[in-house]
Amino acid sequence: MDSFPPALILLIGAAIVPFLPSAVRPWAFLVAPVLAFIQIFAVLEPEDAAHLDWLNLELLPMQVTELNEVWATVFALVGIAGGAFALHVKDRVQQGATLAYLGSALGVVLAGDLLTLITFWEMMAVASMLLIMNGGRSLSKPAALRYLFVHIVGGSLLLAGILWHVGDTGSFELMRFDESTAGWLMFWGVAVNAAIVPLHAWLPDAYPESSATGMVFLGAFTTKTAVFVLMTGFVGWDILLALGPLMAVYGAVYALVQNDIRRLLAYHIISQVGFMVTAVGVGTGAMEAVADQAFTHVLWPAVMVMGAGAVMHATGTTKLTQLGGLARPLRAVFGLYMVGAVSISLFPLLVGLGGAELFTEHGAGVARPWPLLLLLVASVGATLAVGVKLPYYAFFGGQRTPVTASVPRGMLVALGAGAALSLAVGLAPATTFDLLRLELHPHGFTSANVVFGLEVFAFTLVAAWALLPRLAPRDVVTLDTDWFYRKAGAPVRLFIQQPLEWPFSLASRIVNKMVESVSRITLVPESGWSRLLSLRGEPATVISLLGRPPLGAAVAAIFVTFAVIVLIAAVFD
Amino acid sequence: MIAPRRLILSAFASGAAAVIALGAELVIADTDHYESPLWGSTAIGLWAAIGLLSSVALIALVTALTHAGVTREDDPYAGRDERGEGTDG
Repeated sequence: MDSFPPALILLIGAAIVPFLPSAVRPWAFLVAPVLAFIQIFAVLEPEDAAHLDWLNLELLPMQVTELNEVWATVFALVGIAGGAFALHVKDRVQQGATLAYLGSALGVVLAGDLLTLITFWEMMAVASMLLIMNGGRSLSKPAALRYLFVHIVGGSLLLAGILWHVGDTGSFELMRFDESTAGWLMFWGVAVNAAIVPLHAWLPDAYPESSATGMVFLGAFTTKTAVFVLMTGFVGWDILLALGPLMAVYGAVYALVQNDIRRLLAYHIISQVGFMVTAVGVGTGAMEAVADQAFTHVLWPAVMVMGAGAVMHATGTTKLTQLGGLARPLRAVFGLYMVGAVSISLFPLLVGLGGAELFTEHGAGVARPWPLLLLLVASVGATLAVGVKLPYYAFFGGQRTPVTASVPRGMLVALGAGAALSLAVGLAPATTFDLLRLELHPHGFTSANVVFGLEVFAFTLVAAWALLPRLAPRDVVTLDTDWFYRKAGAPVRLFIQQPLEWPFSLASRIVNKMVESVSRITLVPESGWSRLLSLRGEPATVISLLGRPPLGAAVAAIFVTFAVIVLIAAVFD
Repeated sequence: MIAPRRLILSAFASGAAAVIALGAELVIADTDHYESPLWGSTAIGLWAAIGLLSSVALIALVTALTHAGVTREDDPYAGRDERGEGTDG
């Protein structure tokens, strides 16, 4: 029997919630992901599916596996935490867009065929664009339009690849693709959403322009759905072993330069996705490591983004140069943020170290130490950026930022729940995954990997302490690859748009002129005829005597014209 | 402003953790060692060196990027965004 897709629960919620009264809307917004989670946790089992026959195609709008269940579960959990975090929000567009975004992200990871996947993929782009556009910040709208532009390009590449693949194979089946033209088209389409360097700049450009609550969802879904698609279709591709470590280090370095805490976290997300991309490149042997990483890499950035959102809500600013001294007034936010921040580092007994199997047995499959060394450097960079720079300058620093608004209770509850789950996954991963009914078998801690984590972490702190002034924030703008398309307006207009438009604008001018002349003759005959006769040199008396031609003559002219057209058509038929 | 006492404490804590980590590795070196395909991963103190040197290298890279003009004090996009594309969503 077919099962009900949880994505539909959220899409139905997205259609209903915006029209509910403002008093109940935030709670209804929270109920939708709770229902989706119940459906995933308590009803769906691996091998469950939903079937659809459409236009002689046998589609699978949902197909549950042990792996995609991990993504679906953590997405629903972040949806619930985000719903609690956003309980104070009244904006109906944001609420509707968020539910549609979460629903389409679930649709992508549970999709059983390529047509379903591309449909939900495009829905996700539009819903997330709306979420950014309604961020309420001064640059939300232009950032959302750039985001849409980039994702239209990425979606088009993916669609082109899918159509090419279907043309070659006649199948919409989701499978591991080979390195053919279709495969490469799809790969680069997915790479855009995965924010693979150098196609990543949309993420730090757009996410920080969303609202405090919007970024909680944005940071969790788009890149991770892309990683899921990479894992499904492109596992073991060698290029990922180069691109993954590159984006891990690139994101870590750029995070260290940022002044805006949410842009810092955006680059940090790129860095963390680099770890997952590398794991996908390792091959099918590391699939469980990817799923393990997906769970934790959705969870702890969500905690940190919620912490940053709470700071933004309380102070009205996100710039480190304007922040400081918040550890006392925002004591709970600071403590819960630090749980997420320490979890991503290799701190003993926490989540980050639990994911270190990538460095060990799965890493052996890489057979090249460079990717592993770069990931280790990126890990150190993450500790410096989100574990030292951000908390030191935002919560301590050299100034005291006034707190202008109290942090809503919903925000604190969501932060607390996220931090508690991070701790649980770190301290007792097997028990936590068993409770969530996920088929993950994390590696336990040994004295060797605890010492490994402790050494890296402690010596990173020693270096950070010694070089702390070098990490001091500066109020600067960082140039990234988005410079090329943000500054491309003038050359594109000059060399592409204007040459392409020239024949059309010429034709348009000619047609306009003709229409103008004809309309002058027909609508104001006296002046039209008069002008024509003047041109022919008729005497002024003839012109002045000319009146409006009789209606019968106009009708006759139409019939004659029509007859001529019919005659020409008959001759050339 | 962070109190000097707290700074000294954090420095002391970092140093102590570093010493404990190295000491622990020496203690378990004969029985257990962290396996990795990295070069010389069996050497005592490799992970400590990686932590320390990576931090220094990353901070040096950030400083170099700043000098290379990757960061700008003026916003090169401000004019276009403010002029043509509206404000709040």
